[in-house]
Amino acid sequence: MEIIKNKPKTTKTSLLKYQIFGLFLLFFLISPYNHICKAQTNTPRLANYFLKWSISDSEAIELSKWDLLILDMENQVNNPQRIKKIRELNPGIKILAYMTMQEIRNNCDSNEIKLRCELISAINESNYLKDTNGNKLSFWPGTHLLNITEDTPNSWSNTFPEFIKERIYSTGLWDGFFYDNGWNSISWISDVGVDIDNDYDIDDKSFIDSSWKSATIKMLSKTKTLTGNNFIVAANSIEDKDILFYSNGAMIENFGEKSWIKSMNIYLDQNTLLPNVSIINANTANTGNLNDYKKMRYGLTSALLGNGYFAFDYGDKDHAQLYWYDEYNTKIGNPISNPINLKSKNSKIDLGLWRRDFENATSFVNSSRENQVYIFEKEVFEKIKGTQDAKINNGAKVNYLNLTPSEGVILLKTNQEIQNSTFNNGDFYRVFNYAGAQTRNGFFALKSNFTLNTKILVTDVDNDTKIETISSEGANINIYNKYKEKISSFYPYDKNFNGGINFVVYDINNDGKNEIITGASSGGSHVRIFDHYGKLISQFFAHDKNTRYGVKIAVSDINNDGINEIITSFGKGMEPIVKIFDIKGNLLTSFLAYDKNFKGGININTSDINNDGISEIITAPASNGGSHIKIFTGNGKLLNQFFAYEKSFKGGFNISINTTGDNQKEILISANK
Amino acid sequence: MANIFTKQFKVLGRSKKLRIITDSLFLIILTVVLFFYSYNYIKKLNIKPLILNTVSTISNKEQKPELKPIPEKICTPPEIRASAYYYNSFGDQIGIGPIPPIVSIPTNYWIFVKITNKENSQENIKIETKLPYNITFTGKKGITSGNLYFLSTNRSIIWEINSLAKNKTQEAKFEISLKPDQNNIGKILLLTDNISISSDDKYCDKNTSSTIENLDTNLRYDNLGKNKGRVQNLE
Repeated sequence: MEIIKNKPKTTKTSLLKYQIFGLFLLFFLISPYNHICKAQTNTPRLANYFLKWSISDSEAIELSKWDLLILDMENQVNNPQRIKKIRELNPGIKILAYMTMQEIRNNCDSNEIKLRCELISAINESNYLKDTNGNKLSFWPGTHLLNITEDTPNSWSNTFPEFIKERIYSTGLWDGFFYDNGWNSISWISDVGVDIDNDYDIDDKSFIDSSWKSATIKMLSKTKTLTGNNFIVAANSIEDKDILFYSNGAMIENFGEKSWIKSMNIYLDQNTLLPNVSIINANTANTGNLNDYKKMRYGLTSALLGNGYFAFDYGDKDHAQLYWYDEYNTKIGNPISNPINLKSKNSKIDLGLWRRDFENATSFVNSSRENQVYIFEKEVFEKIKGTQDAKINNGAKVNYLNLTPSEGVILLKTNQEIQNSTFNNGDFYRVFNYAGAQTRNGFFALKSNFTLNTKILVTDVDNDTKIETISSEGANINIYNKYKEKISSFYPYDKNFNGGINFVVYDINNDGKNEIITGASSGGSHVRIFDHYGKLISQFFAHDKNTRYGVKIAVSDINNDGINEIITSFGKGMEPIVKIFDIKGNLLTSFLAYDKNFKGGININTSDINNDGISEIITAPASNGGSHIKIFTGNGKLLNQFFAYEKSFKGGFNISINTTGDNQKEILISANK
Repeated sequence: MANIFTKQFKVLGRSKKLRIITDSLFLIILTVVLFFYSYNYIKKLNIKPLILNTVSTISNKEQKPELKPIPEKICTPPEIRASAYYYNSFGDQIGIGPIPPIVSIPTNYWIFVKITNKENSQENIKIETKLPYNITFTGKKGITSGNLYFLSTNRSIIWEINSLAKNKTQEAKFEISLKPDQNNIGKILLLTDNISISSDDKYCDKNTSSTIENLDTNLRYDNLGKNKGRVQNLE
């Protein structure tokens, strides 16, 4: 039996440390303040104010595209499974239950409003808000107002927050509750006079309104107290910062109808409970004109001045639409600046021309009453390429803005640099996604200090975290630092060779250091692997030594076995075969990329274009061919294909790959006759 | 053979003798006429030296052959072509800014220059064009050979190439930015002012030069961008 007395005394101390660490980690993960640290990765942040009592399966699928939903509370009874379905499809979504703060339907006239019926059955006559003649007051047709200033155990201001806790919060279906009508006054509701204290006497308006404001605050606070910090409590139509302080945020409904300054003062006010869920809700003013893109953009770009949400729908007579816009598909990235008024050059909320920068785009909004023209002295932006509003979303590159009053626009930052993929200097590259759609405007990949048609690669070749430029010039591979100083040079082939050199840089043997792999553009199919100093490591012939078609190369792990392969193709005169070798030059597999009679040669590249975790092989004719781009798996199975230019155009096409800020891959194709 | 003919001729009757003589004379005259016309026809074909030489050789070996004419020297600089684009030939936007151009707002165009040497080897090739006052060079450029730069003293874009062999081509492209002012409203503006090429012709041993038509905002080679060159005011 082991003598326990030899057990180290520090064991108990170590255990305590782990317990403290675990508690700390737990606190950090569940803390509501974690929301502050959570990065916005899917801006613009979209909300949908969808007030149908029940939703269909197809609506649930569509609604899962939004970031925040406000659904009528009756959905928890009518179709709780669809709320769960929305969460399955979008685990990060926030869903708030909706009900008016101080209104109730006149009767229980539908079997879809079971929760309302339950509330109606508990209401006493004294709970209603009346005028001095004893008549119940109403704001919305078919409903009556309740007197939230009443403070008794059975008053609405107490029973409803308790109802929210017991019947809404407890289901676990919701992230919070959304009160409609977070008013700070009520005296305006009746010309006869509001009887706020049920004494049939005319009450002073300021007394009525201050009582109402206090009651609104009390309802918000009580709801929050009963449900806890993690349960969001937000409200519509809050125009008073004192009320805002007791909520998680306000929705500004009918945005644009009132003063922009007033609306933005509420929307941008961060003095709320956390997490902040401020919302701008713009709409078609009950016209149904969902193609009023200018109105939509005005609301959206105003919302982008803050970190809240944007919703666009029919209007205050019907909130239940699935309108979707080009701008919603645009991943603008996280904000990287505060909003600024370009006219006054400060951030004070005022009319003017506003700008806010994001990782991938910049948002502008003209909140003034005049046209605003702004010239970008050094910047070039690109309009969104979409299917709506052809004049705005046409993908054009722009260097100036001309916005009419109450208009906004999102402009994308242009990326005209190719990194980590070899390109032909001076070529104009079109930009495609995996599906073959042009995602944005093309650009010249141009380094002015190199001659045209030089093959160039901008990458960290020596793994020192600094970017170098590698070029094939004549018989040399040259490496330049960021100051354009040549730091290295070697001859991959004979020093008099002038047939052109293809090359890639890759950590081919997974040793943490890049190698330079070369192939001759013309001449023999001699593939050579060098370290980044130019020392030859290994070599092999990709085809018969005596053939003179040249060889193109790419390197990637195309079969997901953790080992890189060398993918080769050949130049003019050779059949369009793609050959795949291991790094020792052993042939693994091969396939024909085009009809075997095509002898124009093919260019290749590799990348995980469709983000499935496995690299694909992309091919294009090198000369005398149509712009037929093909995407294959590593064993030659065709996944997709498209024409990069007009089908009638015949020439040669180069392929480069670009990775966007949100890790999407772009296929870049240039054409030469 | 001749004796046999003479004997046969003597035994013929008078009329027959007359006929033979007449036919022979006719044949001789016909031959002469045919020769005469053939000679003139061949002369028109300008192969006279060969024939004359040959005839001379045949007729008189002591005659000297005539000298062949020396081909005339062709001394020209390389052929130059220049074009301005806002959209490339595939319809991609390569320019930036408004077209038609708008007062006070920059519009960028790309100028493409191609030189082809069809004749003698050239050295010290220089392509030059001045930029009008409202145009600047953005600094973006690409060349296949030589050196292209902007000379601020006379506002010229200059492209210099050391040498260009026969049947060789070089290309350049560069970006310029036009910023019209109020005086330009309604006008089509020049993008270049006097595009010229000069070079030293090695064969002719002299400097040659030529100029080509200027480029303007109407972009005559740009299928999508042409005829949108008249400067407008901001609406």
